[in-house]
Amino acid sequence: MSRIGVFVCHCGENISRTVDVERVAEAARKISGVAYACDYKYMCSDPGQNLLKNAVSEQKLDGIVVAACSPRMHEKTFRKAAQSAGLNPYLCEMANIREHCSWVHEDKEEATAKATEIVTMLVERVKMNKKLQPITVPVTKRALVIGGGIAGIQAALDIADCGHHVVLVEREPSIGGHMAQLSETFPTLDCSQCIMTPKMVDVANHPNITLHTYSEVENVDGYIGNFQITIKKKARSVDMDKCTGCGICMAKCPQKKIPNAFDKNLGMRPAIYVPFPQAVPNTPVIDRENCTWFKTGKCGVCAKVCGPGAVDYSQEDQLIVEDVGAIVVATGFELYSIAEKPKGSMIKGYGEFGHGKIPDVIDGMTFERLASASGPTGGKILRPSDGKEPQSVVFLQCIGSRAREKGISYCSKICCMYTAKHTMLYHHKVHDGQAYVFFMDARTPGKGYDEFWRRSIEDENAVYIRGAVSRLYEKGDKIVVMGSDISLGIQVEIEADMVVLATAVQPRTGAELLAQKLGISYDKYNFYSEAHAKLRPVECATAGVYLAGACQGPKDIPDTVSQASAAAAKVMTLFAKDELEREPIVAKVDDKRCVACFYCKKVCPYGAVEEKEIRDRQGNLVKVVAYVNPGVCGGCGTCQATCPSKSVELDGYTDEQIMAQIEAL
Amino acid sequence: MHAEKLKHDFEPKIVAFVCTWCTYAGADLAGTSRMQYPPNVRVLKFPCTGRIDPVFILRAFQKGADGILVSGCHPGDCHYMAGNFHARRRFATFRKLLEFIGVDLERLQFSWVSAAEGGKWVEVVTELTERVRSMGPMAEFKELELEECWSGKLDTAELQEAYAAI
Amino acid sequence: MTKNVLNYSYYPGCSLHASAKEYDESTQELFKILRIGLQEVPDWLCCGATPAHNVDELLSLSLCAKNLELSEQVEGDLAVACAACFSRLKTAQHKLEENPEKRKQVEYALDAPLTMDKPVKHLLEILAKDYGLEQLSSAMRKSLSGLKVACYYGCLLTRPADVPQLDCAEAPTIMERVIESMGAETVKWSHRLECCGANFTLSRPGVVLQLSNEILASAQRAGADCIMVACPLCHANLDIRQKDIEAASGTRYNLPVLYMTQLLALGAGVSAKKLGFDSMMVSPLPLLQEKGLV
Repeated sequence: MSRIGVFVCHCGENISRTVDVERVAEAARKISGVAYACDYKYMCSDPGQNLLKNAVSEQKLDGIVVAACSPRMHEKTFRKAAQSAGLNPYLCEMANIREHCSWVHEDKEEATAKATEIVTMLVERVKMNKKLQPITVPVTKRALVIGGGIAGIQAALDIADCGHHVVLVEREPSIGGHMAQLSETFPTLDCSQCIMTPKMVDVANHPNITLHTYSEVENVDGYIGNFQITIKKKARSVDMDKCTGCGICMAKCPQKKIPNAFDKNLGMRPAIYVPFPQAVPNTPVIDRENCTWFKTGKCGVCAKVCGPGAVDYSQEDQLIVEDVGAIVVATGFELYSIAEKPKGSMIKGYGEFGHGKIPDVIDGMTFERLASASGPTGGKILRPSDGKEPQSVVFLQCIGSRAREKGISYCSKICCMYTAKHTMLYHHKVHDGQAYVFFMDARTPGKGYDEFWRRSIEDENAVYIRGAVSRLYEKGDKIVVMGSDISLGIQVEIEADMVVLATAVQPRTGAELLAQKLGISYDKYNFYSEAHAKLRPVECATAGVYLAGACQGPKDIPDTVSQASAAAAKVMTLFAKDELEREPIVAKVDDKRCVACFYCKKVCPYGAVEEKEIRDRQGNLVKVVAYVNPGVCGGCGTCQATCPSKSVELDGYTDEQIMAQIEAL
Repeated sequence: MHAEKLKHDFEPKIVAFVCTWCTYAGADLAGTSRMQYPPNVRVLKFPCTGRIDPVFILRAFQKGADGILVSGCHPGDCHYMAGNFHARRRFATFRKLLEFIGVDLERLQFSWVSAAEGGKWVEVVTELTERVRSMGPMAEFKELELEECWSGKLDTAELQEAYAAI
Repeated sequence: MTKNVLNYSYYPGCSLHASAKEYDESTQELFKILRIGLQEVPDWLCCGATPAHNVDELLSLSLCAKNLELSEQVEGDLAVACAACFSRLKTAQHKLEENPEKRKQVEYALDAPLTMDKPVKHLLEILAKDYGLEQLSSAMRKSLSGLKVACYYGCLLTRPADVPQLDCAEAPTIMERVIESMGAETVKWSHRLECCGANFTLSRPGVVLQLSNEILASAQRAGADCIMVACPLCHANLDIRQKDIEAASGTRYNLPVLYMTQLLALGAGVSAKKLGFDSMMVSPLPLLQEKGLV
């Protein structure tokens, strides 16, 4: 005969305001098999947990139901408490009478009745619960970091410095990400490359970091502590071991006019190239799509002039497999473009700004490349159309961001600051030039941020106009900006030489594909979802995968670096133990009933089902049955629902447990 | 916040079989956001919609459910990679069977609700509850269940007749 | 009598029977020569235009809903020429489809259920999509080449983005494509979508003098010979008021403002006498004669 204990929590007022908790406890007492029921203000508090532990030992309970918040909140808490009182933690269930009841219904009678039913269902279920022992799996103490921008670099260095091996995979030929494209960084106006390149070199030289550039993650198998990552190393056409980085191949390449994406297509590069001079690794790649040799079979100059003979046209893409225990995702962002979007797209373009076709209307990153000393204009601010120096530049804030009608409702966080920075860079380089900024609000919450922003107005003579811009059009060689000044209540028209748009920060194109490979969640904008917005900002709901940087949401450099170190710390927590305790929610096959149809094997998403031979004492094969590897099983239960002979059972979600809940309806 | 609540004659019993990672979390979010919806739904938590056996649905109807909701992660987003695809296929077939035996398919709903879609959970539950309310109670299965409940006695008139016919 | 290629029900609206008569005449002539049937909806009402929706939304929706129901009596999608009528009818359809409460109110006001089945199409859509640009080109009898046209969309043809669904809201090309199929050259100019001042012509004409001046100035800068419109009110502001605008701004424009169907009909071979060129304030005849089109 069961001796179940029911503990009904008030949760302060959260539950007791709409659910009569005393009545629920009273009703629970009447259920057959319930030996003890009570209500308490805060079950998760110390005294609440002690109440639970005492009841378990004094009342000799063999199962408990805590009627409180969502199990996603406190199941672990109460299971731990039960365990410390000597009760197997899997004999503890939670009845969700808060998120699913007291918070969503107003009528006290209805809410109380519903709460009572929910408790009854869980009591009947817990009677069928079995004692389960945790499974231990070994942890591979190596980490994978996807993305070699500042977030990936920081996370990799932190983990490597703790003595664990890191595999860093970067899609571009060089690490550095967007930070390498920046000219100076707010709020200090540090030269971006100067503060970043030492870290990049550290990554390249670190004995604990294996750097795979020009590579992508093809496939992810396994689970926390035991991932197998398939990485595609794209063919560079250059042997990395032989190349000395002398650069003669690039100088001699006859194809010099390929637009360089790093320079936002304002600068040109050859077919064999490094994206920027400070590239790490400093080994070029051949852009096979634009290379004469690969298109026509003629040329081959780079191979001829290469002293060490490092150029290798026969190189092919390679697939390698790395075993890791944890994954840090640091894939960063890209900027929204105002170009016309395909019909039916959630996000719209800005037809009123010319859909990106006006040459002197550029985005913030393009302005950075103009301002950068190693950029296509050597650091001079020049108009892309005719190379003249603009005497008036109008900056527009919130292009795409905070624009529900364009499909993006969020704020991109970094633009107020970088636009202020741009007005300063512009003023430093074009002393007589005039900068105008059309803005809605100034969001400058960081340390030293607001002071920096004010400098733009007070020291650099930027004119800030609070208002939006409705249209940009060309008039001669100028661009007319039609906007409004809502502080003065007038329409404003400015004839500008150049317009810089602060465009929204978006996740990279294809971000959702990587998320699906990793099995992690993402929101409607394709930003990766953290496990809890406030309390678990660097973990994913999927165990073993962590987030760092702008792939999780728009972020500036200080926050990115913080988050990267936080993700590294979480990885270190995982690696601090040799073994990981896994939840024993795994499937088990009953040898006697299994008919060896192996439907379970076909449907298992983890490939956890193996074939097991049953032999008699003489060693003769009796039959082959299915066997679930408890280390690999993910605990989804698809096998059980598929099995025609009902021979496989998912511990923790058996048919008996579920049927008991349904019977109690 | 609410207009005067109407008193209804019939309160349908709605049973929801949901997956922990997406729909259960979405329902939690609806709770955290204090969104309000009718109290007719009872949620059963599963690790994945792939675990849901059609037998559970039949049993729920027998036990008094007037409407049933099966809800999981959006295609491609299943926490266990592909469980929701198997669930979808399984239920595409199961629906045909239910239709064949005369169950009004309007009582059975499948949906994808993600962990971020508290609002959608509220929408789906409310819509199903009101639809089933207008359809009335699901009497057929309950009657069948009562019929099928065997007392355990061997000497009932029915059984005597059946033995005699062999 | 050759059979019609396409057939439409036709809602001219108040202006086309009055101050914009030449828009109606040229539309009828054009469609006749293209063998597209246009049958006027019997006993149609005013769509309410700006006054109705400004004052009482239910009135505005009811007027348009009534017209849509009346149009069910005639076969064929509903063809509309005036941009304002087009906008009101499409908006009513949109709102009544989205909002069952409003729909109930309108049904109560009209004392009849609404079918709301009839697609509402502007002439531009009919010519560009249903009839086809290639067909239109092959219907050309007198090429308009040599004529530089500034296509003026105004506010209502393409906006708000989800209602008319005619073309891209902020960067449309449908007017240019249609007139280019008759050989005309279109100019790239900045004020294609800027407001002419609309109804302020009655209450605050100063606003029209300012806004329409910008439009004329922009067209002149772009080297246009004439401006092409699809809206009677835009036509009124740019044509009838052009002398006032010239006086107020001190600039001479002398830019004829033509309805799209006037130009298209001319290109399709309709005699200029039938196209109402005489009733326009800024006569297009000198320009058309210069270009050898008349």
